[in-house]
Amino acid sequence: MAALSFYQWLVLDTIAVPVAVLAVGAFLTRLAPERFRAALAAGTLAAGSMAAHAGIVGWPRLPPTDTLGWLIVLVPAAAVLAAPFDLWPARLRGWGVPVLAAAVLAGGMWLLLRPLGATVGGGGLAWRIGAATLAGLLPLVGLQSLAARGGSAAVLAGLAVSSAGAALVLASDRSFLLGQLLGGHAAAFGAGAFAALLLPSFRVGRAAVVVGVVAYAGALAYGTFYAPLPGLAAALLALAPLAPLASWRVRRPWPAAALAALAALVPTAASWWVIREDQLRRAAAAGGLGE
Amino acid sequence: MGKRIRVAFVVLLALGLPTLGPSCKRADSAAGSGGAGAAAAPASGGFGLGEEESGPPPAISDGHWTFDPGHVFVLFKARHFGAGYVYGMFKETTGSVTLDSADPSKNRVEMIIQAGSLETFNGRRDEHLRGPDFLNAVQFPTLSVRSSSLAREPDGTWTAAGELTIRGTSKTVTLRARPLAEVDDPMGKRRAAFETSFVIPRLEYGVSFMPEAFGHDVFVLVAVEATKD
Repeated sequence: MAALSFYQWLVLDTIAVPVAVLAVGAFLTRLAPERFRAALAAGTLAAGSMAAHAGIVGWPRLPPTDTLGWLIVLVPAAAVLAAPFDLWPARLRGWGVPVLAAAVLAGGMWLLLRPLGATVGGGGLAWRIGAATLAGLLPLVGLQSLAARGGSAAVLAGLAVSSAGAALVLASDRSFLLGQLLGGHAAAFGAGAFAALLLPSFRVGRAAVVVGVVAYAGALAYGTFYAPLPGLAAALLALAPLAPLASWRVRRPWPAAALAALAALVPTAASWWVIREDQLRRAAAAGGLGE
Repeated sequence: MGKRIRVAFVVLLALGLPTLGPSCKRADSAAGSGGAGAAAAPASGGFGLGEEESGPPPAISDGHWTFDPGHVFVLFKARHFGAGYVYGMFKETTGSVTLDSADPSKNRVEMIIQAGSLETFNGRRDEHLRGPDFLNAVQFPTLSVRSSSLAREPDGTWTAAGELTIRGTSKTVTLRARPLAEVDDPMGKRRAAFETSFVIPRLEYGVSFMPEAFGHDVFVLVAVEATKD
């Protein structure tokens, strides 16, 4: 096979592979027994995210030495840890849901951010892990409620737009690699949204929301603390996945998904403006924009 | 599910499956020759910045030599888009050399480079190179060379074997250095100088961003002046 160009690799790794994995996984949910379908949807989202990650960044050595390597471990781990939400829903009710979700998020953020402790100290690290966990927990609880009301497509459409927006912001300025990675997540979530609209068997439950938020929040935390993004842009991007709650009262799937996507567009566009202003300010200080 | 959706799945699969595990394929077919499997190795020709030293290298006396931070130059170049080279340097490097003729097993060299001090004379590019796509200076603030042995060869050069650590990945390397001089400086200190050049296959150290676009090999020249303790 002739060597592929950079742009061909870009399209294959960032779009074709995660979409293909999602498509296969979504199709398989038709064959699965009813009680396993939501957990299988979560596994499918994790597989799509992992496929994008493996294509873009490569497989990490285990255990990973690089924070970025932990992300690819974190996403399937979240799928496994959150699976009880969908497999035994009766046993996890009330406070059990947010407590388990918070534990999964906090553990993941600790894995990602602990190298920062060498430079910011234990207190600074704890503060950052707490902030990243809280920023992920709010959308997680909100999206889990939306998913429980049957808003699968809206949840995934919102995550897709949030990830695509964060991808553009990061790729344009701070880290092309991370931007590409979030672009891969956006492709997986977007394909999932279409699958949820087209296939009655593919519906996301609480576990899939955990997977989506961990993938998004993990990549964003990495970009925020290692790239780093300006605080306001990071805050807007962190809260973007909450925007699909705007579709709470809309029952029909297509309008709900469209509204969720539009609502998520607002904070990501605002973060783009913040980044652009920051770019101009830095360019004025440095005397030019070119590389 | 409609027939059209099934067809779309098959097309997507056909697009996606050949690319699973692409990082390996790309590592083989990249811009800038790879030297796959090789750790840091002596570079031929250095940077071509001027006349090469001629004649046998001088012997440097025994003792503990500390790098003079103002006279340590860690220069590098890497291929850009398969066209020209980007040149840069690290502005903050510390280190030391220990030489002991009586007990050569005590010979050591150590060099710590601050990743955040990278400079290519373009602010945006510097931020990018220090960032997570390349060195990830926040998580890995230093690059280092720590030798486990340092041998003085019959031709006067030094051969140091040890570990080169970049982005948290350590690999065993063998570096050759050439002593340049040992003199008394005007401040009354004993001062020695040496240089080494080598090649870093960056993919082996996890610096794998855009292997299609940027050279796999980073050529490094280290020029050091050190004072005797």
